[in-house]
Amino acid sequence: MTIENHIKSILKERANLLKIQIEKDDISSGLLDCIEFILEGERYAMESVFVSEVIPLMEITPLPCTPGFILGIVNVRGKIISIIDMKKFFGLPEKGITNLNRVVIIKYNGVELGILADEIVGNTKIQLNKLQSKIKTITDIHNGFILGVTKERLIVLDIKEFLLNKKLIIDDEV
Amino acid sequence: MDKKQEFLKRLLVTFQIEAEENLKNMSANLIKLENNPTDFAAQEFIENIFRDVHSLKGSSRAVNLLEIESVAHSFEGVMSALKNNRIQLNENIFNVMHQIIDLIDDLLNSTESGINSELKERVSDALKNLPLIEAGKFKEIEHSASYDKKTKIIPDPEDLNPKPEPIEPKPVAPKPKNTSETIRVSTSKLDNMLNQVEEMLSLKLGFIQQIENLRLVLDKLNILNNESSNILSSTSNLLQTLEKKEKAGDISIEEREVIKIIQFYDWSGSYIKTIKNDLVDIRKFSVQESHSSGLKIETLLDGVKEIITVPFSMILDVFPKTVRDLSKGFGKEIDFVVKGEDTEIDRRILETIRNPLLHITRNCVDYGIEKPEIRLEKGKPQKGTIFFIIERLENSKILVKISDDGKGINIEKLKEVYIKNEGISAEGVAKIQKKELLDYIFKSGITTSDIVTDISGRGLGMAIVQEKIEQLGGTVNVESEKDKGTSFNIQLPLSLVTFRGILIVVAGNEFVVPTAKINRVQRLNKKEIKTVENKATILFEDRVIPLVSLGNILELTPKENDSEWVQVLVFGSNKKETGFLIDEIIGEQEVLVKKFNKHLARVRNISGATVLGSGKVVPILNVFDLIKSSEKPSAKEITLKIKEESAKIETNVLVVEDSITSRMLLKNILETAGYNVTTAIDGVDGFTKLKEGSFNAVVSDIQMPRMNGFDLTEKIRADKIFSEMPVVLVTSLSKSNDKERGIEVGANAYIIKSNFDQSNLLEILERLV
Repeated sequence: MTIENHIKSILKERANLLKIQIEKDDISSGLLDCIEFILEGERYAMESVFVSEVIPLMEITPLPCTPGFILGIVNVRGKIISIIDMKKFFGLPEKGITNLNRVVIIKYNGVELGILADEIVGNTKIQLNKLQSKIKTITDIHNGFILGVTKERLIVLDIKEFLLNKKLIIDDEV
Repeated sequence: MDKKQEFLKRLLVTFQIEAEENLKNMSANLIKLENNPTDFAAQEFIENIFRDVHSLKGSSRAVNLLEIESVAHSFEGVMSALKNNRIQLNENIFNVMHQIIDLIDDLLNSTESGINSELKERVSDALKNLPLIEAGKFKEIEHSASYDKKTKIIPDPEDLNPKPEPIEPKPVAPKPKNTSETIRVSTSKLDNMLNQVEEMLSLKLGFIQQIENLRLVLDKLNILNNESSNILSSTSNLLQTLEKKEKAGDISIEEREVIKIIQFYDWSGSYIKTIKNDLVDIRKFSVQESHSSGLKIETLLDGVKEIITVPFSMILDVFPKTVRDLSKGFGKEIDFVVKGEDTEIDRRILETIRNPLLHITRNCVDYGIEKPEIRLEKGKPQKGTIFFIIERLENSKILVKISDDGKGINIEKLKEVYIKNEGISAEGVAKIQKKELLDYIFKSGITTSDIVTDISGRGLGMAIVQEKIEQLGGTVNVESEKDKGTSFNIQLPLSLVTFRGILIVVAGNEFVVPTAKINRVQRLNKKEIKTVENKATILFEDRVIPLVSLGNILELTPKENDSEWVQVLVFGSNKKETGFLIDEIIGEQEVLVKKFNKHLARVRNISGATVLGSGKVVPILNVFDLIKSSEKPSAKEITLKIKEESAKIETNVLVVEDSITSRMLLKNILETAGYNVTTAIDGVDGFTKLKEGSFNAVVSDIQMPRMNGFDLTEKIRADKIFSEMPVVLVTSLSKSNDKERGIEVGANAYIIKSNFDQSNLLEILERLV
């Protein structure tokens, strides 16, 4: 055995002694990248993968002959995007007026739209297995649209389910 | 004959570009597969290769490159076996697969020079090896000819009698790739470019608006100029007398001041003229700029449109040939009838849709149309027909209908497959609608075919077809009747379109109507509106036609019209015109349709939207729908009041709020309650508007940029004129010291947003005003 090999084997041995197995917490398996926002004083979150951008709401054109939850349409760099009021969509009670100044643009399966938020809090990571999912009694939003609620009372929306919902697709004949 | 060859040549070039892309994808995925991916990822890579080789197979058949087709077919067999986990990959297999990809590439590049013997051997090698791999019996690369790209050839000891000459792969000079001068650009890049060019159009419209604004400023200056020269001419006598007096030294201080003032006006009069001239120059320059940049933008847009829209016939060339070749192979007799091939469509859409359409057509030949003897037995004409009909729909979509008069989709077979794959009982299937069952053919891996032929039957095609169509924002559905035939209906968006449109105002909102759809624009005296059976009517070309309110149809609250005159648009043709009452017409301009995304698949009475020069988004009305809507009973009600005098004293309220949603909400609430509302976006804007107009009350938010509600209130109170102006603060600040601050600065009321209640606000306003 050459000296070089000898050194190598010693180093390897040391490395073996020193190596620590990375703890495979359940964190790594079920971390959800989310965007947290405030809607009427309540904290909500949704998965970042569905969010394409956040824009300030400047001007909005009302669109006649559409359901009430569609506030109107805006121009986002040449694309026409409709703006949805989630409160109206979920049928949440109206609690006064708020500063709905931000639009979160979400996209999935060809459906792209903006939802209104009072304020964007920022990015956050949420542990899936810590989510409390049976929350029918807590919120008014239909269970299908909610992934769960965290201990911090953060309501995590199921945006995919939301965007796939048939009620959201406007396909009206006269 | 020449023409045909020309055509084949063109086809070949397109095919080569596409095939090269397929090969690139295949080899990239193959490499990924080699790097020990997870099972899940591996499945995806296999699926990707599967799809690429499948489409390669199809297109090579269309251009009659049989060698490539047969190699691709065997390759697909291997991928299919891999997909079903019937065989395992190993290094040898990978080597073979890569070699096959190289082989297809070489075949591609030898379409002109012809296939030489070396290539022929490689093809026969491939056709021998691939089925072995598929059957799981492949051990080692077998060479009939000892071809290997990299290693030196060692004669196989068992094969003691190799070809007489030591075979050295001919050093084929790497020919320049046989591609034409085209590049492939991803549709997403093109999309972005398109959107941006479209934005340029609103830039052009913006220019026109700016010039109009300049004209208004000039008009104002002209008025100023005229007024001042009027005054000057009337005061010139006075000036002369005063100047005489000054010379005589007999002048009072006041008179001297008057001289100064008159001289100032004289000077400012000429100064205004200088400004005016400058402005005229600027305007001239702007008009020139606007023309030339407008022209440039038009040219650019036309260019982009040219890139983007082409007639359907561009892709249809290949179809009749495919149908003919295939039907011959199957011993079938088929007429292929195309209608509407001039219909123009976005080139991007056409490119993507070509293969799916080809696939459906192939399926019609393969499964749909029966053999002549069977057709005769069923009492059908011996020759089957495949219709390929392209039609432009009203909602700016295109319908492609591919139908055959064949045997129809075998529903019973589909049920069996459904039961087997979905684990549903036979009773369960009985409940499923026929339509849902038919849609099932779009699932990957579903086939009702008992035999896998060389072109179809693997159950992959329809899944790709649906995926491609839906990626384009289109839809596909299938109708089928046993022994009557099958029909595929594919709806595709048309994409980029511009047209002339008229900008109108209805119930206070702006809309665009395509000029081509307007029969007439009329300004009518209200006396000309007469009711027939309680329905409003007007005269149009000596005929009585119904008149409806466009506001009502659009479910808006029409504004009351106090004047004697009304503005009417007449839509419809063929003596079936209808008059639509609107508020006013703003003007005509070029309009670019922006389609909605899937979320707004179809909105009643609205076909899309456009962006004006000011950047404002305006919905485009769907005239077809409007006429339909006008026939509904609810649309007939029309309220035409000629108000003699307004009973209610007008109350003007200024709403100052930076959030657009709150602003809209407050405006709505107050307008519904009968107030006249003006809005401002922050304190500074609010104070300016307050000074310009006459208001009876101010409703303001507190947290705003530039000047907040507290400062605004303070400023209002400090101003003598407004010291008595009622101010209502509406805010999310709910702490008691905020409230105190509000009262301190002089607000009359303080409403907290979180317990905002509209009756509360209205009550307070009622009390204050």
